[in-house]
Amino acid sequence: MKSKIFRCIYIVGVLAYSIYVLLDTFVITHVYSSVSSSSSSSSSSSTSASTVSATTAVSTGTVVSTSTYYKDYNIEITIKEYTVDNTEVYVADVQVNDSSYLKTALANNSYGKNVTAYTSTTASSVSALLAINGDYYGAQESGYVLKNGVIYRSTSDGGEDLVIYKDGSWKIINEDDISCEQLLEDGAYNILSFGPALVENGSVSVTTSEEVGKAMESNPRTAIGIISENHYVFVVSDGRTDESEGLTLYELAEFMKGLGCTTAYNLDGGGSSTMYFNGEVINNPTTTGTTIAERKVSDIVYVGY
Amino acid sequence: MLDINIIKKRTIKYLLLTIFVLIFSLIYEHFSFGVISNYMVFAFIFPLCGLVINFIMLVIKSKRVGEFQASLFDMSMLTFTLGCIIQGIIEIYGTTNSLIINFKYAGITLLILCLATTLINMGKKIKRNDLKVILFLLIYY
Repeated sequence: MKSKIFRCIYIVGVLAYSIYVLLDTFVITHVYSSVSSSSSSSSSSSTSASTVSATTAVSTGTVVSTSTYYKDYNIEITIKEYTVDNTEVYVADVQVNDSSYLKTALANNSYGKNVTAYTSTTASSVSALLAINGDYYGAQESGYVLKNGVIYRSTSDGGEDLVIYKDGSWKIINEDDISCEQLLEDGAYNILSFGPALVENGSVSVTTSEEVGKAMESNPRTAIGIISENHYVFVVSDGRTDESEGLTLYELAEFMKGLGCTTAYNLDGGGSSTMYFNGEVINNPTTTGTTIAERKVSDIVYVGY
Repeated sequence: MLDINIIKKRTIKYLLLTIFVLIFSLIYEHFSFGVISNYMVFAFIFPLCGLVINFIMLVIKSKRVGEFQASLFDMSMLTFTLGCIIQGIIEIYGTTNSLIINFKYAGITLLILCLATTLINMGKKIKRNDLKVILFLLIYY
């Protein structure tokens, strides 16, 4: 009788703990720090600092803006659509006269676990001209998080990161080889920690069988690449629908190389893949394939002031 | 001690549980867009262990396992199975959670307790001569 009671209590306890683990993973929000929008940009190496964003007035000159094109004195963005391997691929060709117009932003202006917002919502809140979903740092408990010159997390997960330096140069690094603090000291301004690198030194750096985590199928994808100094491409592919099959990592890497990228990096894909331009989501984001709807993500990469 | 009828019932319960977990895993994997988690795929291994052990006990008509030990074993298998399924769900979503490790610790603790209490029970029934043989074998090896 006693062992039956003990068993019942244990079963209830373990089920309750299971539910708690699932809620902690997917629902419960933990905000660790917030991003200040009023203070000036900082290059300090604090690991939990909350200083970002310079709000100096920038002259944009004459602005030309359509549904597929934007041009002002500093930024030129052209949106093109391609059909690759039965998949719609959206390419934003970006040319800027200063690399500081390439930025990242955190959902709800906060760093934490399960702190998420739609790409379009975050993009709109920072007045982004063009935005894509970022590395979804909040889904992992390790991996470098350095956004706009501030370190939020410096624990290594041994992954391959894209480091964007203040001078506009890009580099692929392995987290086991260098610390986040050292990268900041070396001039890193943003780190994207998803991967893998798709193109390095102009050559495809993934194999035909390589995949993200354990995904083995064609999926919606998001990638970012650099063609030359201050010339970038943001790429998002549809997938999981009748109209768009999705791309494998290798197909995406080949496509990025075809665009002329010298370095290209894979970001969070699947249901997260979203491209926002001039106030609109221009691709067809979907998690299940049946409903076209954005997924909330932790962060975005954007072009704007 | 568990009698044969109880062991029979336990064998059937474990068989049904194994089938249920296997079907659940297959359905979950089917809708996971090609993301494969070994934890999800092999979650049925633990109820299968329970099935095999109970089946062996049934065949050899073992009467060495008490109700308390059986409870500890069941709780251990339940903990491992739940831990595997939740780890699978988390992996398929592409995220992590360090809290999951507690399923492993709890499962192992329960299993050790089960083995220890079973051995203690068995030890009580072993005659002094048997202990001498066991001691000799231990020293020999």
